Amino acid sequence: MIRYRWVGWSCLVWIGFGQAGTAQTATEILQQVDGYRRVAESFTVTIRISDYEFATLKEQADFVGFFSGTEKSVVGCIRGKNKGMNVLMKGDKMWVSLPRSRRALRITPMQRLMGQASNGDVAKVAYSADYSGEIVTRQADEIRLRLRAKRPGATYQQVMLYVDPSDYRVRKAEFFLLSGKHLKTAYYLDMMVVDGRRVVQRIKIVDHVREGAYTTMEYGDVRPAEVPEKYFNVMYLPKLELAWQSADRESP
Amino acid sequence: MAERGPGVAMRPIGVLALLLWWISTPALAARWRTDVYANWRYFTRQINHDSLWNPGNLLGLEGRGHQGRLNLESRFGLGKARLVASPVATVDDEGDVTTAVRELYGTVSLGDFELTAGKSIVKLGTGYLFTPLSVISRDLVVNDPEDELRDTEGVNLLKLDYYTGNANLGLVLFEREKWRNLAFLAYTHLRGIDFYGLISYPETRKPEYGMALSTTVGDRVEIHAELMVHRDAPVEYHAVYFADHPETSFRDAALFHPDFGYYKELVVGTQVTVRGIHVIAEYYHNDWGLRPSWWDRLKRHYQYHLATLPDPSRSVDIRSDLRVISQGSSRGLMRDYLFVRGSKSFARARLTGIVYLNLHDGSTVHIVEAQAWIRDGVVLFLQPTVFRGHRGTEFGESWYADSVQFGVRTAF
Repeated sequence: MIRYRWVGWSCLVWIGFGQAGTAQTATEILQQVDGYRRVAESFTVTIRISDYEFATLKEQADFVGFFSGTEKSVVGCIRGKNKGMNVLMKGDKMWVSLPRSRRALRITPMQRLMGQASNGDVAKVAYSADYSGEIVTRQADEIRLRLRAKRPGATYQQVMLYVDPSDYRVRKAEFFLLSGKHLKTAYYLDMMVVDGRRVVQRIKIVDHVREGAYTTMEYGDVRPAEVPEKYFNVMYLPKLELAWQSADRESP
Repeated sequence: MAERGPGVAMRPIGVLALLLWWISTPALAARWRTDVYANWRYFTRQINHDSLWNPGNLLGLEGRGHQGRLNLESRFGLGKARLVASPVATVDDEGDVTTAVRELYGTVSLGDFELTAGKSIVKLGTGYLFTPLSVISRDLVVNDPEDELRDTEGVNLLKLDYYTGNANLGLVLFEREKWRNLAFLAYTHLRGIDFYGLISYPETRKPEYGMALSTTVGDRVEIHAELMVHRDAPVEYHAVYFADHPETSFRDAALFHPDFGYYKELVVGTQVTVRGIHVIAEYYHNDWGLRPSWWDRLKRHYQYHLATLPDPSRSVDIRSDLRVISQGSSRGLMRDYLFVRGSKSFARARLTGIVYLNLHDGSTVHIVEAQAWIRDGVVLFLQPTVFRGHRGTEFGESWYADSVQFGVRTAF
């Protein structure tokens, strides 16, 4: 129906926000990581997703996302195969709009993973809310955190975070299924500054299931914004014309 | 399965007015945007020659042809107001052009309230194909449940909505044959479950009540259900359903509207994702559909007259009656059906398989659709449809036809 995976990474990217701190425990480090996830309590952002196989571009799509707090987001495809489709997330609940027939349907967490690259659990935007962490190693140049899902329904039962101890920026995240299978690795690459905060600008996600497959996500036009509460109502989802509302937005 | 086109053609003055409005409004609008959708398809139909209802292709229903469609969907922003215009032009293989309006409405947002007036598509409920709750915009067809070909048209309505982050209340006045249809709907999300409620007071003055829910179980399973209770059945019945000797029963006015009390219409469905394959399954029931014994009597009646009357026109009349009977439900004539759809997406392609099963006689519709995205906004599609069922079954001997359609859809 849709390659929902884009949406997940559009949320997870904000885990890359970082600032210096003095966190000591795994919980404090996670709070530092999560605390720098947003430029504001609510904001909008544009996202360009590019899918590669052996360095050849296979597919590209542009999205615009509206985020409120750590639990609510709505992301719309404004260019690409699923243009016009919106995806709403509230906590671990998810809905998708079918734009031509003007309706929204509830979907399962696993549907977020549809598509070849299977890029992530899209509803999980806050590590500290959904995972409990423990410090595996703490060295001068890197902290490794092992995160375990608090709920059995989580798509990834385990995440390994590689954190820069100087500013608690995530350098790399490894995602594991319940079976222990290492599904993918996300590398947080370029940074940009928005309202004095450093924000991840580009992520490369390497798929360990499909040889040679990787996805890049580029973020741009981040703006603090008041997002009306009705945007997160499933009945409003088919009416939410993100493509139209974002006509003046700059793609990454 | 069913083929539909824009239902109500516009008068030339209407087209002209819409064109003028479409041209002039961008000058007034703070922002505007137009998306262009076009599709072209070629189709061929192969009738079942053994069909009881069309012996020897009596009615000449085989055919092939092509159809093109252009849909301009424009949105204009004027302060807190938003205008949407979506005219459609369809051209067939004889060059005949039909114009229609898919949607044409204005919306004004006043905080959490929103007022909509005009022709708009409004779908309600939780079902994928079967949506009993959707009393305003009703039909979805089996071979295009997501309306990829943009066949669905809106309904003239006046709608007032109140939204919070977690709930919606709506009051809709809408037109069918008359502007006398009222619906009150409510939605809320509680403890992980979406709840929908509906009270409808249609122009027949026979109220309808409905509720629906959907939720997820674990990380792979979604379940949904809808129940509507109707005081009126949207079908016509044939007198032979209740005749002791259906072969020889004659009545000048064989069709009548049933009124036997309350009629339930329900759907129970699920979505499951297994190994990247997304499966949707829905069971559908309505109380007004034909019972197998009624269907059998109708066939005996038809067969008798086909065999004994020198002029088959009378039997054709009966067949026409059957069409009238079926018009109340786009789902089929009987009471219980099962819909199963499986799809798998690839980087630039999608493969979908659909089975639609009449649970009374086992006859089926099989649809396969292959789609390929050849570039942004351009999709090639191929969709063969096959009906299966021995003589005596609904899909095996009605007017349904094996068919193939292929074409291209574009969106810019």
